[in-house]
Amino acid sequence: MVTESPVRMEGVSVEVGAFRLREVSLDVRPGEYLVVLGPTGCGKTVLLETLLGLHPPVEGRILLGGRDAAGRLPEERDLGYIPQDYALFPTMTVRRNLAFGPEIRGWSRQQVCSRVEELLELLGIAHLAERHPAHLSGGEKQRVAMGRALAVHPRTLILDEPLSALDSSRRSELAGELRGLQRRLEGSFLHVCHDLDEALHLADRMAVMREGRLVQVGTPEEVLMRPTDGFVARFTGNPNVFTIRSASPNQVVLEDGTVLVCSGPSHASAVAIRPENLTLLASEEEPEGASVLEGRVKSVVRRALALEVQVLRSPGDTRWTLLVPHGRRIAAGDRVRFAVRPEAVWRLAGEGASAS
Amino acid sequence: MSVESVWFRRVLWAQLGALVLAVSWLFASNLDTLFPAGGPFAGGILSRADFWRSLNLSVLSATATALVAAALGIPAAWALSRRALAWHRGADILLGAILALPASSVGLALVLLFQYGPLDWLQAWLGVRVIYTLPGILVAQLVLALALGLQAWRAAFEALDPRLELTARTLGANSFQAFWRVALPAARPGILAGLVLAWLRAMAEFGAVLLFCSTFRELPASRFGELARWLHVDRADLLAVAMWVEIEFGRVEAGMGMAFALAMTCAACVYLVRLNGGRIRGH
Repeated sequence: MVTESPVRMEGVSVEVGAFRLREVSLDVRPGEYLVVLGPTGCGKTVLLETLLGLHPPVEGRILLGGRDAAGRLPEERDLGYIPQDYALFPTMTVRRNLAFGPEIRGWSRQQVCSRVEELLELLGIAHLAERHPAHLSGGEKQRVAMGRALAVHPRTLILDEPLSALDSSRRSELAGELRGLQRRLEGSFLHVCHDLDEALHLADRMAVMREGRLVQVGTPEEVLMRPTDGFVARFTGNPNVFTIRSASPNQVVLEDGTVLVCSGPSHASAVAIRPENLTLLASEEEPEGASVLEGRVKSVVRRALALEVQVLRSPGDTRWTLLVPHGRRIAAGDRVRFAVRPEAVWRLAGEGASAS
Repeated sequence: MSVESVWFRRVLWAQLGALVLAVSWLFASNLDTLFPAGGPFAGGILSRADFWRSLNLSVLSATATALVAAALGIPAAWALSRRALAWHRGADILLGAILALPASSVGLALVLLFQYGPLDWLQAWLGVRVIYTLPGILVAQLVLALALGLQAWRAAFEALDPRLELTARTLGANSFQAFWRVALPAARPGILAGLVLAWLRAMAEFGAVLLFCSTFRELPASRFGELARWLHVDRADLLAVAMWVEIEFGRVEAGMGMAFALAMTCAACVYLVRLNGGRIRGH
């Protein structure tokens, strides 16, 4: 069992044209599914291309299996690659696509054949073996691309938005397939995407990226519940990020004067409160230990799992988002009260509400 | 089917129709020349040895030119499409100029280069003379065919997803193997189109060859080398040049016959490639 990281980046900075990747440190652990999540244009693809050997770092170093990768060409890095849209070799059948890596590495004919058969079996694509990529569906292409990359036993599989070309109904199903395959192979996967749901579905750990920097690395739960700054909070589906005027060890005062009971460090600059942790109260209800706020409902949007209710706080003018179970009678213009429990308030030490 | 492809098909059909009309007219007006009363070999151009030598020279030189252009141009097109280097802009301007200028101006430029410029000294040093010789035809054709072919090959490589080659490299291929085994086959339709364009450009070349090489028909056979005689291309002009000479000397019918032969040869080439191209791609 290999215990060292198959892929490790230590303070890597890269310049590609006007774009800069800044001091990225990232560690893919053996057998781990790591997802790099970030908005379009944040540098995810440059990060992958750097790992693959297209851009030499101007600072820092990359270790592959514990060895410095400086000066190693893409073909010497032993990283499997699944590009966006899969880039299957269009003139070759599925079988030839799968055999490409083993053949180019000079395996014997027998070894190539048995490896290809094994992959066709593993991925359930034996019936597609003689087809050309133009005649495959999106999901079938993904499996072939997986097989082609896995054929030569790479130390880590690198996936660049592999699900973004699919429609949403297939996406979740194929994400499940990817996860299942990774578990079965016990391989380490590094996957980049811009879709939060996809990241949460797949990741053992996730790294959130913004403008060429990694802003947070942690388990999905850590990232969701304890974001490092307002950007991470918003990007992970939490619009309730508020700048604070003052903070003491057991309460904070927001810019609009709202006082929230909570504990945490007093050097915080903002707070983040997940919408699902805010509770709508019945008229006379007074929950113990929680801060109770009042406001007017601005809008109610029906989502798949809950109603998304926006409340304009009064007094004050902060906008709060709550998730309320379906079936609850609530409409725009209603006056409502809601509770903020102290443990739901997460103090942000980093960049706060002003960052968007 | 998309709107663009419907229109594209209509334009293709219109072009084909125009070509058929033109060829039929040429054919109808040349029946006498091609098939005179005493049989095809009695008195028309088909009975003239210099016509067959011209056809031979045109086909051989166009084929050689297209192959040399491919050997030089395909790797160059790949390099131009993959890396943005400083000299690429210069190469772009030069190629654009060759395509934009009249071929006779390019021929004149070649004359100046080979007669007076550094290439004159190079010829003297190597002890070979290209200008006003039979191999000179290849040089003149090559400059024009390469400029045109390169555009097509470059477009073919630029249309390819660069991740195809990157993926091949992560699987263990070096950059040459990625080019040879993945990029080149994937770009095959465009490569083939460029090859046909280069061949047709060479086949039809007139102005540049006339200025750079003049004509050979009046020269004595002794002025030609062993190889030229063996290939039956001595004392011959390219068909396009021979056609002009015929008309210049007032033999309009023979000139028309040659124009017809040239058109038919080019049409046959395009037809054969279409047939083959369809089979190669398996559609």
